[in-house]
Amino acid sequence: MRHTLVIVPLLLLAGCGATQSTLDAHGPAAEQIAFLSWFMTILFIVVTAIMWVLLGWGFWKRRGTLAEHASITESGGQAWIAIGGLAVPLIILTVIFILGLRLLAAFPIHGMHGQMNMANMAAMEDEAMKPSILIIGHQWWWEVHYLGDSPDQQFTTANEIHIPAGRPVNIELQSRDVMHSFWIPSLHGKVDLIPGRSNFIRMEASKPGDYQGQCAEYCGAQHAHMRLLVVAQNPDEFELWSEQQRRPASEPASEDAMAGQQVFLEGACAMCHQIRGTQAGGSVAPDLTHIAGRRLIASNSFPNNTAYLEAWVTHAQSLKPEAEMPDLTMFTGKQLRQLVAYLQQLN
Amino acid sequence: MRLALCVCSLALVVTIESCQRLMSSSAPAGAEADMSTAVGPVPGNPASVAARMNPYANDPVALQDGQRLFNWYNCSGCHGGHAGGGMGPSLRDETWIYGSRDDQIFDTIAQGRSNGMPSWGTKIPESQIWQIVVYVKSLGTPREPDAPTVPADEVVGPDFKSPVKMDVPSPE
Repeated sequence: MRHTLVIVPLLLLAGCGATQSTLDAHGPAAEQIAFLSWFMTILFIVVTAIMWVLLGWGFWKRRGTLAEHASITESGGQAWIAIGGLAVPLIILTVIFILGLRLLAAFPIHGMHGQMNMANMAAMEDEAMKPSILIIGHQWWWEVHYLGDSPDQQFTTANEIHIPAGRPVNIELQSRDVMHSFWIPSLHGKVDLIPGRSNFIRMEASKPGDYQGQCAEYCGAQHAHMRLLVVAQNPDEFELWSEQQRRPASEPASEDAMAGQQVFLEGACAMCHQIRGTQAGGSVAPDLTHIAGRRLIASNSFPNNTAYLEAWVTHAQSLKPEAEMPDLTMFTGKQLRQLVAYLQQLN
Repeated sequence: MRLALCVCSLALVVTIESCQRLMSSSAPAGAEADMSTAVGPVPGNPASVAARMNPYANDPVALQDGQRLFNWYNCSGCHGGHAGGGMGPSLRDETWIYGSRDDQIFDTIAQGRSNGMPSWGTKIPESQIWQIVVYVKSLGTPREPDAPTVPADEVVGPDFKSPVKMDVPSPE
């Protein structure tokens, strides 16, 4: 009884965190995938149970001694092979095949491959098929472009994708280096990011919440640290968030932050990172315009707090070896503090 | 006590000596003989001061990284695609205006040079500058990664560095 008292709150607590499980489905695609997973698992458990029962039955119901064992041609053994070995598996596999085809047909844009050919272009004309987010995979982070109808509606972020809950979102997937795979287990199935071509996926979260994701195609040393977070929000909250993301970076107000901006612009940071509204226009590393608003850093691997930001600037290679972020040990302690103060007010 | 100290320091000196010998013997001899064609007074230390060694010399991974950094940091914006020249001088040709040694190229990138080369010392970490040096040194040699293809009619010999000769018909 006492154990139950301890365990139940723990289980409830576990439910609070962001989920990363295929069986914890929160979208139409994931629900069908989860259904198929459960259906197949239960079906195969039943089949396996029947096989064990038959095996036990055959074992106990011996016919004669071993020497006078009946020949297989005598007592209907061939019928067992025809029914149990051919007919039943054929029926079961056909049922699963049809269910799989139905799942594919339900999501025509899921995993739509290829360059802009005639079929894809025709599909893109359709408003319902047009991608609104472009995700570019890098070793080892996700570049996220929100595409708008006009350039002033577009903005760039990284590793944290916000979507309106209850609405389908079409996503275009590309890669700049090696193959990656985009996977939010609670929302949809895997779709690969392939260098030199575009893949497409439709994603929908049925209710607001945080959904953890992960690169699902081995892509190098830090594959495990190539994580991402999908934040599904109410549509009006999502609009507010987009509006805020479109704005250029906030001007530093405090003295420390102003000094930190100078450190950022004059130091190594501006070579790779972009902060919209400043002269930092590097395009090879994550956009930091609203870095303070993100929950985690380094492709959703570490908490976005003072300690980890300082550690990431000075010793990125210890936190995430072989990442493109170099160890920047040229800053003094004061400069580092100012730099992080600047980054922390970029919300 | 004193004896132990003496023995220890002697052992240290011998170790350092042998290490240095090992390191100097592993460097390829005469690798730069045909590349040094500085056209004027070269900034930097006089020849009597030992040159700093490039920690990435002959490192094929650094060569690839250097090429990527060369493009990421937009060196090609001035020096041209494949560093063939543009607003800034070509880095493929035989001319090394500010010296062809690794440490001289390092200083050119880190300190900047007159006539437009900015100083990148505060912007690019030291290790990355050495990687870019490896790539710059490989330009126009068979070691260059993703070398531009030379049209068949312009190939004059097996040596990539030989100047391209053009057959211009002389006026009668």
